[in-house]
Amino acid sequence: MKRHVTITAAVGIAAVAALAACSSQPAATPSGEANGGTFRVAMIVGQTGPLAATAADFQLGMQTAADLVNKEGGIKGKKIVIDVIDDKSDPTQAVTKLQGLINSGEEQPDLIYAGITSSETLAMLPILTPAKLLSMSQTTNVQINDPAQYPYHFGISPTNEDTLKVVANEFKEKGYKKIGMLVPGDANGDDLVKTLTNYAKKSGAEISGVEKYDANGVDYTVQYQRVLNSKPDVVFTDASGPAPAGRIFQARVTAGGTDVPLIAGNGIAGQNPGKSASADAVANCTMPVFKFTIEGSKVAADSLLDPLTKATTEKGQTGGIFGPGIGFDLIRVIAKASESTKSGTGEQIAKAMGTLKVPADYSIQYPDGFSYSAESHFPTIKGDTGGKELIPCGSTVENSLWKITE
Amino acid sequence: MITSIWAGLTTGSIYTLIAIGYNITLTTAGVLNFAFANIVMVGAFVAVTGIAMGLPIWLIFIVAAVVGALVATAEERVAVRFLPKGQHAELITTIGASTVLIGATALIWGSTAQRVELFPQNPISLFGGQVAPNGLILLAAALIFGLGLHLFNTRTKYGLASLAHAADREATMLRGINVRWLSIIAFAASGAFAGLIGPLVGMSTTATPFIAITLAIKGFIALYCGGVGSQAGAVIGGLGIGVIEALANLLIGPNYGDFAVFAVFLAILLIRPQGLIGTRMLRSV
Repeated sequence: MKRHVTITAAVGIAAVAALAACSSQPAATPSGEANGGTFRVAMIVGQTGPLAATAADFQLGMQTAADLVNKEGGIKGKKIVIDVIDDKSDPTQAVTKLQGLINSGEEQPDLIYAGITSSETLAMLPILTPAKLLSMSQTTNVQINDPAQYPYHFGISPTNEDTLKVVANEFKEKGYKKIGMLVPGDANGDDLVKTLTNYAKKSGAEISGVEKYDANGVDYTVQYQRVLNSKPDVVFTDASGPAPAGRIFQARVTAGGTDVPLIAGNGIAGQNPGKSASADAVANCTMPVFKFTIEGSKVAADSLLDPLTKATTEKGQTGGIFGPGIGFDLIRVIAKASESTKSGTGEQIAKAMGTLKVPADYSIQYPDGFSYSAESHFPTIKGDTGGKELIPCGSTVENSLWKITE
Repeated sequence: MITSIWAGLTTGSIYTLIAIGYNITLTTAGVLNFAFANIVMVGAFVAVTGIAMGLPIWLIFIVAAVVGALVATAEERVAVRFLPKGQHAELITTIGASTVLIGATALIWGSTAQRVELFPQNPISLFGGQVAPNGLILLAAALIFGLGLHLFNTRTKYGLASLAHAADREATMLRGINVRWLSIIAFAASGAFAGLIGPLVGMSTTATPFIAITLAIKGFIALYCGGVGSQAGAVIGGLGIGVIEALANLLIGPNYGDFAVFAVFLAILLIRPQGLIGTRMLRSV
């Protein structure tokens, strides 16, 4: 009996040792030449926290595009696999998680999605660059677009300069001379102020007052009131997350600011503000949205729009297809760039991206096409509206597309 | 200026209500429940669902209170009941409960902020400033609950028994009082209170799981500024820091509100550590 127990124990120990040996091997996530069949994408984003819904939107779009690309053979024969790493939209956590990933001893990802906020991207870039890791993000702070310093990073969203073109056109058209601004107190807010100040100067207008708010604030009535105290002809505002958007609109009502026209920025436009604000609060307000997100616009091919709209509607994403569209384009741009590479490694794709010209009808955001260059790693897009149109803030999202409501 | 003061009183009322909620479990069960603000948000989300279902307002408040009571009771059973007494381990476990509630609310209702509109919010002109109707209701709620619970704690048998339990659990048990039930009742009552005020708070902040941490911190500051254990102190502390925050934002600049609040908090801790109307406790060592 004793001997039987000893043998059983020995077999058990051997089995455990064998299992341990197997599990100590690096995960099957190879990169580059050694990649046995997967193109691994690591999204370092706030999977939880105030921007979780935005992260879910991008992930949905990326996965929808990955499914389409995989059906057509993947990236040089490699299937795209997307992993999400939660940094709670905190730059410090983003850096910690990225360092953990790089130092894990495992093969490195082929592509890093480097954060939802500019602060996260700017924190991660000094680590990504020496590691020669290809990275992309929708973040638009101008400091990120520095190919000399960050040669492996590319943007996918229009810059604030492109996004605000349509807003600047509105200033000119309506003859607004004094512009009040209420923006988040972060890197994106600074960039919005800088960009809009330049546009205002060009059109002979002035920024009458700038107020920055804390995204975790409970009430923005005082900040909105300070903007109104500068007697603006129009107020421009933006938000980095859905919760501040609702509170900004509430503050607009309480501060008595609904008579002054409001133009909400990209961040608010992507979130269906009618969901978090009352009809009174969103009256006399417009916001820029991509034309492809408007019902019946027909600017994007049905073969691209349909799977994205279907996936977004099935997931019940309340902000429509704007966020998913960004993720969708990101993966397809990577696929396009990989076509001219030898084996589709991250480093090869980064090199190809530097001179990539995306043709018309390929991108869902920019149906006229766009390009990257050695000077700019953000999309250079055609036209004077940045592919955008101003619609009333009270418009509703139906079947994932904007239905314009006056 | 007056509109800013009204805005400060509105946010201050929210901080007061959170501080009152902390005091309910603190003075009854001796536990500072850091998940209280999260239960408030559960109440706000219940209101979102109730509005979508077309329930009458009175029923929304009742359902929110019942759900809040159930959540808080579950928290007491899981995160507080089995902890060793006197080691303040609940400071950690209630923070854990708060994290769980953030995840649960995001999972059930989504992480997108949602509007809670029980009634129209057209601002009212009052004393030369503007205030949303909900701001006045929050202010009234803060004053009524603060004063009411202060009288309850100091004038009723149950209130005095609760204070006795918080001060000396063993002595209370020797007097034949069932302290376990007292603890459950305290958590259920604070949960019902959180659920009840949740729709009102949500009308001001929108229903979002992630605002709870801000409310929890500011409520905690209000509690300590006013005096731990004092419901009247919670009213003074909450409204005080709300107005200071708003005036600092208006007169000094945006984002100076938090600096001003923390400066006042530090000053009170240094000059009067027991809070503005708290009582100094002697502890034998």
